[in-house]
Amino acid sequence: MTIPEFVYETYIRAPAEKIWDALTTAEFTSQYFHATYVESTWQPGDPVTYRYEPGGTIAVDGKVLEAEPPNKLVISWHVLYDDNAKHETPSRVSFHIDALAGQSRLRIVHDRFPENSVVYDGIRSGWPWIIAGLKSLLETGEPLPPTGS
Amino acid sequence: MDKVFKALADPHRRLILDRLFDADGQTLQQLCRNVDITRQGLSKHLTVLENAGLVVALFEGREKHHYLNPVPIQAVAERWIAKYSTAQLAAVSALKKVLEEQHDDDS
Repeated sequence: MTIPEFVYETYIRAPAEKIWDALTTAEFTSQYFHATYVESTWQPGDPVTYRYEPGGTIAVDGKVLEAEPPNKLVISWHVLYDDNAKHETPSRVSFHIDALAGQSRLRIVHDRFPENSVVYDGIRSGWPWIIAGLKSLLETGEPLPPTGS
Repeated sequence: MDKVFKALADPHRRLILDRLFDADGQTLQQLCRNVDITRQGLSKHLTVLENAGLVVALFEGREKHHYLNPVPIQAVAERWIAKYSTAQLAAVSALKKVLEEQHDDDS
């Protein structure tokens, strides 16, 4: 039996299309996704990269597994930002966006981690912060202040 | 946010969240073994946690799995704590300025 490993959910006062754009364009991800620039054609089978700067070092790469704008995006997740994780089999991240009255629900499921995954431990603190930043950006137009740490 | 605070105000519910942190995606049956309260009580607490968004329930076939969703707690932290961290940074930089000025006076 396969069950998801991590499930994160939030409600955002924005249309689904806006959330889709925020997930798939560097203009947005650079503001809330650990300051990374995402790039992909978002066609199934094509690569996805998250870079520290446009054309720069890749932090995470993967492949588009499913793309149904603006409701569902599934990508494989291969971590390059941590040397210990580079050789690990990619995990999988699914974004589910559902339009509700006046807001949208964003659910992120991160699963298919290999045994003894290094990535798994780091993920717990990462996603909540990213999701809160995305919510803040779309609802107020402002990204969260840097944590100062 | 009221719902989050109300949900967290109960020690049993905090215990349930701790148990889900230890092992995410547990069914009611699994949680029953790890939390010393009745099945009915547990079920009620889970409903409160779900309504507060602290637990997300997903069905895998007929089995209902419960996942800890920390995003609302993150929102609470940002609502109050992020403000202080910004203030702290300002305080540190003000302190640095004062100390450096003193140092300049001494020399």
